[in-house]
Amino acid sequence: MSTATTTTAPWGHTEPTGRGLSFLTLLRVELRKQVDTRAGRGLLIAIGVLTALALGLFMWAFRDSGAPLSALLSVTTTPQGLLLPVLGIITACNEWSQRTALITFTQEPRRLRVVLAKLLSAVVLGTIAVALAWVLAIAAFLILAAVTGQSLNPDPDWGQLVGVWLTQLIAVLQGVAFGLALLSVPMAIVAYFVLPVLFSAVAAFVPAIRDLGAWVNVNAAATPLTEGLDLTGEQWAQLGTSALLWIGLPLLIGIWRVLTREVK
Amino acid sequence: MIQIEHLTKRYGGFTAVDDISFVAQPGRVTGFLGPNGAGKSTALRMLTGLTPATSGAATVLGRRYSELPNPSRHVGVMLDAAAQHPGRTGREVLQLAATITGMGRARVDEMLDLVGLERSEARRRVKNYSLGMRQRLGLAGALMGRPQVLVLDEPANGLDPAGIHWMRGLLRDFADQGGTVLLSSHLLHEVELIADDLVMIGGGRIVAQGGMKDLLATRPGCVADAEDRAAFANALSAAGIPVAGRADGAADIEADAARVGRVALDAGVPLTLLRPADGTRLEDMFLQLTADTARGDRGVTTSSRDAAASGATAPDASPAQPSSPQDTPTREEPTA
Repeated sequence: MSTATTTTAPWGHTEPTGRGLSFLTLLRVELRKQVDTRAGRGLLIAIGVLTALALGLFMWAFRDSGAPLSALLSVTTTPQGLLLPVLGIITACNEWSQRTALITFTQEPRRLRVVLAKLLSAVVLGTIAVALAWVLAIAAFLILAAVTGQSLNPDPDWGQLVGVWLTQLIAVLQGVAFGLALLSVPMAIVAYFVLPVLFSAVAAFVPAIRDLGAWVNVNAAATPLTEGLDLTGEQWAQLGTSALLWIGLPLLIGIWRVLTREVK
Repeated sequence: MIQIEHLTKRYGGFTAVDDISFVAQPGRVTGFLGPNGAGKSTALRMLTGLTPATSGAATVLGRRYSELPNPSRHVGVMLDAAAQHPGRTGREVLQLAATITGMGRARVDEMLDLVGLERSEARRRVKNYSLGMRQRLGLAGALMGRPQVLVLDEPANGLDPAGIHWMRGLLRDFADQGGTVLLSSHLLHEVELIADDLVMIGGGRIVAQGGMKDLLATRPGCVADAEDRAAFANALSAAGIPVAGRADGAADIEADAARVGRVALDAGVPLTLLRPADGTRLEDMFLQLTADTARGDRGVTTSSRDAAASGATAPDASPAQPSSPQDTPTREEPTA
């Protein structure tokens, strides 16, 4: 087999030139990496199936009375809020578990760009998941309305849609942040689900923390978002401080770890 | 071209790579040889920016690796063929590399052909690949961006003899077109087959480097045997020639065959065997290094430390220059 044509490089210049790797390319590759393995695809399918399942159960329960679109959209937040953080965690630390970081960081030595691409790709997939939830909720609404003979006008509440979207983004970003901070899929998943419980338990016994309430509890602070964007100034502020604690802090630790860690 | 200058990596009190300097020239395949744990992989990771160096510098094509614009278009890197997501298909792995390097689908097929992976194999998931197939896949990924430089860590690992022969041809072509190849190995035989130049590392330090031909020159001396071994030994010692017994009863003699023949003739001792010495100094040094590692010593023992000191070219000397035979140490049994 002749290799003359296939391995030939433009040897004429030895000085390496050409354009750097664009961020868009990096983002495309990171998005692709999330769906090109069986595990990645499986997780996305699971998100879709569980969302549909939750809607189906809800429709069965309300098969006689019917339900407004807002109630149906709220139903989707539970299964999605459970699985989107896992997606974020896998995005953030899969490369360290599978050791493909060895390839990724030789392709792009500027590691912060890789982290940002991963963060953004998780946001994109989270957004797609919420869009899918909305479409499924509308379909469920139409079926339910047709069955019960009610008005077919879904009368969508855009504020609630944005609120649900923000809720899920918080969940997915918290997953990425925990993943980056721990760099191990199982450890990050355990931490993600156990730490808030631990935190509540501690808060129950320590009045000083209990009094802080939603200021330091992102789950509590995000709860009103699923109903819409009608949050008070204080509620927005609580969302900000609790997100700093539960997303900002682990994200900073994670970025520092990824940037300084030896890739083996 | 790859330039390594006084590269050092310390982990706490342990020095994994100790002030190594060498150059991998374009048009040549440079073998980076050393026992397991000698510091090869650490050095290659420092070269590609995955591990920060404690001190020293490494440049590829005149720049630090991290400062190359889209590095995979200039340097093909394969540091561990086993480090692949098991759930990805071979084709998908290459498609990702093609996207990064701005290549199209056609290039993926081209690379599959080049490394001899069938289309049906490319559709399978990497977890079903043998190590040899992963090496081929990794090499295809490394070559994807039409690089001028290849950095490969243990690329022949897991390849059968035919596979090693194939890889030698591929890397030979790449180098003949002006490319630079730096590959590591813990097997002297592999490097002998593939490399033009050799850098041998042990205990984090370079113990020998130069052209493969020069380094592989056979050791002076000969192996001889006689019917009357006692008379033969007497004749040799009378002539002041050192002798060492061999397991098979013959003698290792530190003198060339012509001289030994004359001594035997003068003494009237009929010889039953007279031939050049086995092996090469390089082999001896490598065996010594490997033995030290196998015994679990950190670093090298006294005898090979001497060997390292006198056998290696000074780090400042022109790196591709072979160590002259006079500089190489005479063979010594380890004193340990």
